[in-house]
Amino acid sequence: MKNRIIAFITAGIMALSLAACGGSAEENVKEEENQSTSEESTEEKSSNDKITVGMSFNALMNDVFVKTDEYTKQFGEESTPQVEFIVTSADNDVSKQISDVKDLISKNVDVMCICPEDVAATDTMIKDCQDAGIPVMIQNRPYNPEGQYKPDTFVGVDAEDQGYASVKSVFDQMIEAGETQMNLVICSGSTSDQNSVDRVNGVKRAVEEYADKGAKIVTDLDTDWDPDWLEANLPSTMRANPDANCIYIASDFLLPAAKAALQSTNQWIKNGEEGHIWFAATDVYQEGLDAIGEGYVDADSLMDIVTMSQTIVDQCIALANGEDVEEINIKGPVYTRENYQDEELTELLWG
Amino acid sequence: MNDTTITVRRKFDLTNFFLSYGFYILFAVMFVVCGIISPFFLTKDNLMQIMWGATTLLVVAAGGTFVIITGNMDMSVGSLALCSSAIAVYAMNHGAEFSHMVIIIFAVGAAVGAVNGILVTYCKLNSMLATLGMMTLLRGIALNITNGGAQTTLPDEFRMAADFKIGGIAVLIIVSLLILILFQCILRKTRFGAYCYAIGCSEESAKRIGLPIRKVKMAVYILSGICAAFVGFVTCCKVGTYSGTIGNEMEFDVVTVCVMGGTSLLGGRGNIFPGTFIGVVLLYLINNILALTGASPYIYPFAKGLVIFAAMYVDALKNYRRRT
Repeated sequence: MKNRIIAFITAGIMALSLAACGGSAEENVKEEENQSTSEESTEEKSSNDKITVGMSFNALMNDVFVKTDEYTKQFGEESTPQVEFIVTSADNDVSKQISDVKDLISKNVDVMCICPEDVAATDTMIKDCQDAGIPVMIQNRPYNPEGQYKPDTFVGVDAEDQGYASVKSVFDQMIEAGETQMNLVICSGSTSDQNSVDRVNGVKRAVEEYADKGAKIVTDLDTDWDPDWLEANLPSTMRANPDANCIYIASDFLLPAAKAALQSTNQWIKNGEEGHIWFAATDVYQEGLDAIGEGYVDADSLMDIVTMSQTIVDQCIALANGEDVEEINIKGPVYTRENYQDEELTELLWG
Repeated sequence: MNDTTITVRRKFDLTNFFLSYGFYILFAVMFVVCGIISPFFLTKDNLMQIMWGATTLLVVAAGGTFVIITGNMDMSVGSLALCSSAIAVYAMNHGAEFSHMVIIIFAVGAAVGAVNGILVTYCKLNSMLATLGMMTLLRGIALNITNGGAQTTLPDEFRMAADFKIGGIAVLIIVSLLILILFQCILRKTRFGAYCYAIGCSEESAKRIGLPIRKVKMAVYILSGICAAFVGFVTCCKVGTYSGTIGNEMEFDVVTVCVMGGTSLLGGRGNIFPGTFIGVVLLYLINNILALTGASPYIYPFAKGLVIFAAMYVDALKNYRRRT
């Protein structure tokens, strides 16, 4: 009996936790509303009043994906016809994402929009959608270029250009400042994240281009998007390579860790002061922007989520209307001390 | 009356020797090889840096060693580290100060550890499955209350705690080592430690001789929960921000380093010092030398996977030899 009571209490705690996990009552109502609107949307299709898009995210545990979710919903509400998103998150689990896509198909969405966890698994999801007669868009992360099935469109940011543009800008600044050696430490994201790989490829292109002017890669640290890992290993790398005078981080997400690491080696020094480590970054979070203003970061290329989200909404409408659309890779501007306060650029900020 | 003395000479068994001490030999060899590969490796700064990196895993692995020695598993440690910090961040956004945040982190750790203990001891759930469920649940709660794990800047006190040094050594390293020594003493010198080994060797026999199995198991899960919370706290201190990646895959690292250090997955065998300690340091040593030598990023998971595979294989061999 005692065991049963304890079991009931524990089950109660678990249920309460699950309820907390499920979000607020308001969100639950929203979800119910979403589901009911998805049922209604079948009726509404004929009048073309509202378009329902199944949005499958690899995970919603990163600012980039959370903001994309927020902006697409916002732009979807503002557009004509309205676009309603039914959102799922696969928590970085490929098999869950495949199952999420199947669930969204069964909800009879007008368009499927997928941000894939694994590039190699896009084939299966695209096939499932196309078999059900649903146009499919891959967003943010690229699809498998060698796959048997191709999506109807792709909307993403030009990750290769982000890496290239940011490092190129720093190299130009270094040359202008009279540096003859540009010894770069790359702090990459993850080898399984195609955007991260592409950014590093862009960085390598910039280094090749500036090789005759003294640019070279000292080392490439794979952080696996773990700030703690970077904070633990960057100081040793910097001490072991005293000639390293330039760093690239694959996202401002890693900036606090890089800052802590450089502070421990007394190398977190402003531009213009002796011992400054030239710093290139990507994404332009608030921390990155502040660091540009303070003189610690020299260039930061934007992941233009605002434009990407608007393009996703526009293309979803076009796909629902049966139109052909072109794949789009959005290039983001580079923020430096000279331009980071420009109104045109601040409007694009999302971090 | 004739006194007869029988002397039994144990034959030296090379396989047994390597299975028992191979890991320490490997550690020593790697240490020397790394020193040869990179002249910077054996400098004081670099060795301190390895210890600094290892502080997070050292404590949680020490707590995990207790759990594994009792023949159980705690797969929720990584998510607990995340969740306890997430709740502290949530409290901070609602006006909590640094001291309150620290209390919250450790209170959440202890509470979740207690729930894990109840699930395993009183509800008789399989420890692996119960804590796997908890792992998913806690990550869900953490991501939900922090808007998808959005990065949050923490009060300056966190960074100040990380920067605080005594005699040139970071206080976090000193605290981690003290915890390790304390846990080793508890494990080896106290009745509680002996109970842990006894339960791990045979729970049935421990029950028959009247050992307080439930209390001991509850205690080890609470201990493991507090250690996991400590990781959340230390990670926040080191980086100065909260992010959704805290404790990612840490549960696997804990199992790996414990097994590498000679703790048996079947329970009843293992130690914190030197076993788990060297296991953790070896894992960070591998990362460190790969970073120092500028190895290809694609080598990292391969090297780590190789070490995990070797550790599990040796553990399986040891268990097989014990049974036969």
